[in-house]
Amino acid sequence: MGDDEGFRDFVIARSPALLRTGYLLLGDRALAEDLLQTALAKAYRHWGRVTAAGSPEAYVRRIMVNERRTWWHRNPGRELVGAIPDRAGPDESSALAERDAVWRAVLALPPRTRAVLVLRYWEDLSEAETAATLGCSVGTVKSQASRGLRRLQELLDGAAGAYDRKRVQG
Amino acid sequence: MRPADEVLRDVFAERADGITPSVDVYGVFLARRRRNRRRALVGAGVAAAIVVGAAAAVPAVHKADRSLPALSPTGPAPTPTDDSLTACVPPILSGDPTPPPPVPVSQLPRQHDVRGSLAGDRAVTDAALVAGWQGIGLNERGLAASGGQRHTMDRSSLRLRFVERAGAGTLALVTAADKTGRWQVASWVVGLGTTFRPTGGPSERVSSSDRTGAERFYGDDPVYVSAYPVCGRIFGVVLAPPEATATLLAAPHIGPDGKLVTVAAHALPLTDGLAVFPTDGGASKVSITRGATVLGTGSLNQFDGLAKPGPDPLTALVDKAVKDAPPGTDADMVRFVVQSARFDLRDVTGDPITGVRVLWAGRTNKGLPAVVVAMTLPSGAAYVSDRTAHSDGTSGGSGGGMVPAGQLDRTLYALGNRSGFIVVVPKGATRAEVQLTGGGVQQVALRYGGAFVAPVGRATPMNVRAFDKDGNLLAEQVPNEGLVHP
Repeated sequence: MGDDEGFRDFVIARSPALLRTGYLLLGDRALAEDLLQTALAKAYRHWGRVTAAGSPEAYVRRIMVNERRTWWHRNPGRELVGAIPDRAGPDESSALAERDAVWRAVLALPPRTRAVLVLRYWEDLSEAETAATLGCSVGTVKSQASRGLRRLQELLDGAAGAYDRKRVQG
Repeated sequence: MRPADEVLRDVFAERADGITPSVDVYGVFLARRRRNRRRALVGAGVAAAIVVGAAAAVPAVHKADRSLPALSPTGPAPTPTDDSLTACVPPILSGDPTPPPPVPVSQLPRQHDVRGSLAGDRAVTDAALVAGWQGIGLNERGLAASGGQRHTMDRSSLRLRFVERAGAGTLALVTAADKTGRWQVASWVVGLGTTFRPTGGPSERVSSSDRTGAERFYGDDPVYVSAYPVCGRIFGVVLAPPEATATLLAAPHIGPDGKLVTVAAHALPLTDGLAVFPTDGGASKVSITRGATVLGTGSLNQFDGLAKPGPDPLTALVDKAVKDAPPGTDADMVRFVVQSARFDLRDVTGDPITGVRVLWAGRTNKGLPAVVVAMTLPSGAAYVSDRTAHSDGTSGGSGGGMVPAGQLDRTLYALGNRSGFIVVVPKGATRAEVQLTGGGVQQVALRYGGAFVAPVGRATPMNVRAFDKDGNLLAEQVPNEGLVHP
């Protein structure tokens, strides 16, 4: 087995950040905790080699991203999109409504597209690093990111239009 | 209009803010590893910490204290032995072994509107409240020790949400917020008579944007769905606002065809907005509604039958499967596949694994172990999962899927990824081949009814075909297709 002390230190130090990434990938805190545990269990099996390779966090993140894709394929209906009772209402600011709408749109994106956006715009990975994490080509990363952003932009454009119309009518 | 990527960065930052581990992550890891090693655990707090349900509670995992003094602040009460109470609380895990000293109940806020059939028993409610405040202190100390932010808890916010009988024991839930009101902590309290012990609970930041799912137990309008082990049994817990109704969807089954069998929902009776009821685990869900509005939906599927003491029955099934497997089978890999499958199945069904069989085991072209394992469910359908070791020390699989009842030996499996895939031929097949892009054909050297097929050149495998001894085509399969996904 691996270096227990080093592994423990890694978990304590990096699990908050990894959990946040998991949350953005899955949109659900409890699932993210489980995903993180699954990834840690897999990393621990080869911890010596993982640390020798130099970037244990990237390794665990890669496991999370790929595990997450598998989960989604098996249980595409498990995610909580649309099951959240508190929605941005008419009294809330347009900025809040906009961010809420974007988050819902992110959750509705295909898993790979969402993973690309999280890795690129949350983790700030380069296109090459994102491709390595996902096990795909840089071209795929580019196209997925472009597609995802385009959908969000369309949503934002539409939301702005609707909000403006409402203000005019109000 | 701001560009989408800018808004996206803001949204990610906003959503990720406040997402901190609600449990001792390393402690949970150790607990999960222990479970994977089949060490018998009494109780089920471990599984509670490995929450999968959409909005399930995440009890913190702090080591329960065997030497915790019995709390009976309001006079004489039955004094169960320490062992009997220990048998009623979740297993002892890692973390801080010593809870904060009890605060006299006279220094804690007087409680109103406590729910549950024991709410009128002052001795019980006082003892539960005292233990609950200790639990909240334990939780905060544990979070701080693991690098989390420190919070100053507001004693005046302390609320005893309910006290209810749960089998042979008693279950209570206590909540509190910090001085800012933005950080909330809950503590489960398990007891016998008027002796209570804090056993951890969820904690998280509160904001208007994350009031999601069924975990809103702050304020006077709680929406809460969870489950908790008490004295070796799992109890579902539902807290709902007045006039709300609850619906219970029993754990779905997987039918003989490998697909989920929809189970009819039925009403869950609430008394004063509370239900504490025994459940056998599985993927049960509870939905809380008021009028036409769904207030929240929560899952009860955290426990996987681990509330009962004694050895895990899956151990014997795996040991037998390894014994019956081809020589040289990597037993650890088989165990890993079965454990992973158990977690996967737990997400979608309450069905237990009733049989384990190694469909094929062997080596890759690089001499690394590879296996395909079938796990039978009560309907006869089987969950099939593969795993192949990689040269960098990792391992991977295709994700697995279901095979209908009676089809296990009639199915041609082709499971893997770009580094290669495992072929397992149906019964009666003596030869197999892989059809490649460009028209090429790669013969498969079968051994024990299967083989690991490494890619040749740049050709992509398109189809696998299996033949009997007379050359008749028995089955064909596109790699990574053919399995049912419930």
